[in-house]
Amino acid sequence: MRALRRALARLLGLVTRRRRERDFDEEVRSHVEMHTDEGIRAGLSPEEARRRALVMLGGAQQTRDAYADGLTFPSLESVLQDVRFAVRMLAKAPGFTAVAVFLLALGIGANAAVFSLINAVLLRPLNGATVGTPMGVFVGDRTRPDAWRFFSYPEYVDVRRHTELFRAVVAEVPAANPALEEGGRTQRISASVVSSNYFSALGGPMAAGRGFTAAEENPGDATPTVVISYPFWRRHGFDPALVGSTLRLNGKAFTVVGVAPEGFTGVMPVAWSDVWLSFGAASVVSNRSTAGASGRVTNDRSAQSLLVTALLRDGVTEDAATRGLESLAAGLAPAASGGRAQLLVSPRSRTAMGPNPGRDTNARAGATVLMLLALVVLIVACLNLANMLLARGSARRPEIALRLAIGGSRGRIVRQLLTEGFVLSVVGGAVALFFTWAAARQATAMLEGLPGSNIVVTLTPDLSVLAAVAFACLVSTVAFSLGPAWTLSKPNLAGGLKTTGIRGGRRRIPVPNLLVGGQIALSLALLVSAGLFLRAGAAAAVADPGYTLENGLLVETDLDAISASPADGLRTYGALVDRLRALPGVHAATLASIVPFGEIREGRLITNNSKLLFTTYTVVGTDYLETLGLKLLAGRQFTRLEERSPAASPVALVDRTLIDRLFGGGNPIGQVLHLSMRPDRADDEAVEIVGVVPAIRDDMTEELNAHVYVPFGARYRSAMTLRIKTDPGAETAVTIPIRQTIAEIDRRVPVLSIQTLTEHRDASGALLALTLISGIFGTLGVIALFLASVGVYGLRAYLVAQRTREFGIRLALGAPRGLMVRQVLGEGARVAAAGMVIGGLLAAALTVLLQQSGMLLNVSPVDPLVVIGSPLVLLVATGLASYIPARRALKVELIAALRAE
Amino acid sequence: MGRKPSDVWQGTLALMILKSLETMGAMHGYGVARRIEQVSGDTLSVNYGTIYPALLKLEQEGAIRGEWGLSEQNRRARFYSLTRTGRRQLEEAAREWDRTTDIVGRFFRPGETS
Repeated sequence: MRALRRALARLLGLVTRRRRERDFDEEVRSHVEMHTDEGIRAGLSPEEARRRALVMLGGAQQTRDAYADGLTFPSLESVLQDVRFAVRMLAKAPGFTAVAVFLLALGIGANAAVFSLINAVLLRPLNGATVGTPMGVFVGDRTRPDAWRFFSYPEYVDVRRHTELFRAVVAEVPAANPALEEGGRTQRISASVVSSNYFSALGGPMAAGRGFTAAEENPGDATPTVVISYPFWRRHGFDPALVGSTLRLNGKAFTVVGVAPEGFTGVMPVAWSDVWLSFGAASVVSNRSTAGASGRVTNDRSAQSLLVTALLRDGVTEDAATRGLESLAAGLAPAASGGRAQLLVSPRSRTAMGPNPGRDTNARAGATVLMLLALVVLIVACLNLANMLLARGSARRPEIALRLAIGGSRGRIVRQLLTEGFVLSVVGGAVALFFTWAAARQATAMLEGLPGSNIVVTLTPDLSVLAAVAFACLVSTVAFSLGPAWTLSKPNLAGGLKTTGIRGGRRRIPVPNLLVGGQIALSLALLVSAGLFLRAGAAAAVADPGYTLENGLLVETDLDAISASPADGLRTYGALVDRLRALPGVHAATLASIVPFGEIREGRLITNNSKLLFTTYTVVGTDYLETLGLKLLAGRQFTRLEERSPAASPVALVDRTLIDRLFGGGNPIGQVLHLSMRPDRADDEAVEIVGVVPAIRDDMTEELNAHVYVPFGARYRSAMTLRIKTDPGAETAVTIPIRQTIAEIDRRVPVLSIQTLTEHRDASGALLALTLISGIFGTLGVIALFLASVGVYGLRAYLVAQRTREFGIRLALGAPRGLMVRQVLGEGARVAAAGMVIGGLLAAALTVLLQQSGMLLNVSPVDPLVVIGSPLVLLVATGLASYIPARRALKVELIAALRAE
Repeated sequence: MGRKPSDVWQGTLALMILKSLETMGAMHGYGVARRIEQVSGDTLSVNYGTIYPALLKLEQEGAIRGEWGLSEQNRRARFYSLTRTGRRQLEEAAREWDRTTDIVGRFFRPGETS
């Protein structure tokens, strides 16, 4: 109670301080005058009386300081003083300060960078908006918890009516890829087909023009309007005339009505669309990912193609919203399995667009691992600094002892040393932030410059990054300066005041050795995981997909661009492959709906004896195996008729993997497969197996998948890729004749891209991601290695310097120099060995963790290069770091050493 | 000369101030200092300055109240007087003091125990 009153009075003192100090001065003056008066009455001369009064008062300034300290909080008051003192102390040792700031900048910078990335992918609010977190609305089967489907337009309208739950409900058909004709060139762009309220609900005011109108949303309204993205606008130099102009998409003219706000990415933060189309215009864009499912938006309840996202009203929880939709769910048609439909309101994945609720478990696990490793780097840096501070502290012992001796309290000295640490951290953090910001600008520019990429990672530091950096500063301050501050402020007056003398014999310094050992252990763990990731990346880059990539050529096209009907399209593609197969330099040519290493994959589920098997589903022409350079294992390939005619009976080729998983190796020829698009549908198509092909992989970062191939004739797609196997060395030479041939068939058929299979693989998103992640791991590993080496070097150098005199004496007594070097090295080696053993255990634990996260394919957890290489690199680095100081022991000059003090 | 002030003052200075104010009524800082010196029989000779931080602390705790007034010699001075809180605090402290000295005293006069 009393303490509280005092605290309040002191708080008040913060504001009234000036006046109270004036009051006090006057009080003291009257005190002195009264004392003087009394002295004069006692018969002293006025001067003498005044002198005595002042003496009795004690040091006027001390009294005043003591009083002022009591007026308000000493901490608030003296923190600034502490900071000023810390800055002076640090300025006095510029070398130490520079190294410390550099180490901290590395440690904090690593954290800031990793956190920026995580922030961009997982944390940052969508569209930079403050509208609250959009929630996904999902429709599924109550009896099959993993069976989720898309919404139909009428169902979306039903959900949208629940305005008591939702402020706004938006819907979209994700990831369409129409072809944009511009200046004589045609290229694929990314597009989403969205509800009319999409921009107003999610993004705030448009950068220019308008969003869609309610009329444009009506299915069947064919008003061809388009909204373009801010980056698209920027690529066109912010041309104000772009709004109102015409874009040719898939051969049709669309009027640009508006530009989306800057940074607008819709419901997913990491990918933006180049353009958005309204539901009414949806029928003009083909959609690879949902092809087969209807990409169209109609009033038909069975045409399901929409993803629905809602903004909850204030105070409405996910659960409440889910309950609020129960009656609506009960009214929905039962799922195909017979189960009742359910509606769920739950967060939407930030990294993948799909009809199922996702919490990005994998991404979060990866983020956690990354963040932990970055923290480890910071800890290593802090251990390093702790050692530096301890070493420096020895030099400051006299100063500290003096302060203790003249009555400084221990708490005050600890506070002073912590303040010094904090000043270092803040400077380090500021440097780190600057570099993170610069690197983020570079990275963002690079990503935006990637051709055809619609990945966007907003890395510019925001408030949460700032907060993370501030947190890192605080953590590191405590981590590196609390220990040394405590140790150094131990009252050991006599010892500290004496100048440094000869240290007794082989004095051990366990704490610094412990710190260095810890650095080595953590660095090893980091190096091993970094090594595994680098190896996984390298292995994925050269891994065997099951066929050769050499002489492979991919030509992407889309007949939607010329608005071909299926019959026309079949004819055009037929003519095209015929001409290509006859082209000199072309070994084989075929059509394929999906190519490996792509972002888009089409899959089907096969139900067989209650087993559910996921399989990749590809529409191909004849000669498919020839374009891969593979041999048929059993049965036959597709005939020309099956390639050209929709009337041919439904057949399929399956691969080795599927046979192994489904038939246990028995003869599959003649068997019928039932393929379904979604788990809630039993049977979308039935196909007869006519041949077996070798297993191949679509992506080097994934496990082997089963494959089903169906012929093009009965499964016409407007967007196909021509797969061509050229004669050896002819890849580049044939590209021109190929373009000519396509132009001769129909001048309007766009060549969206033409690239070799190897080029295509190298540009694949999965490989890019793996490269990025192994890059981060590698960088963290190198930083940790560097920090550990600096730590080892610093400690050895310090110890050798401290023992210069001892060495001198031993030299004088005839000790061989070699022995002393061996001693210094030996001590370092023992510490390193202990660190490595612990680090090895840590690395093993980490490897198990990484292995479970499924991030390390194509590489053995006991990869010899990593398991032997990492400790070796560390050993060489630390060995060198302790050898250099050890050599100094060799060079000790006898006389100089004895005079060293 | 007397002893090092901090030896005696810590904790007891506040008590002495409160007691002086209780006995003498409102007093200025100089008066309090003189009074403590006199009562101690001039065995304590202190920096009068240390009185002021102690007065400030007591005032902040609400035990005393300071007001500007005129001294006997017509000098402007800050007069301190006990508040109700201060009186209570003094009673409490006095009891505490008696108990402590009693306990400590028993150690020095072991014969009187039990």
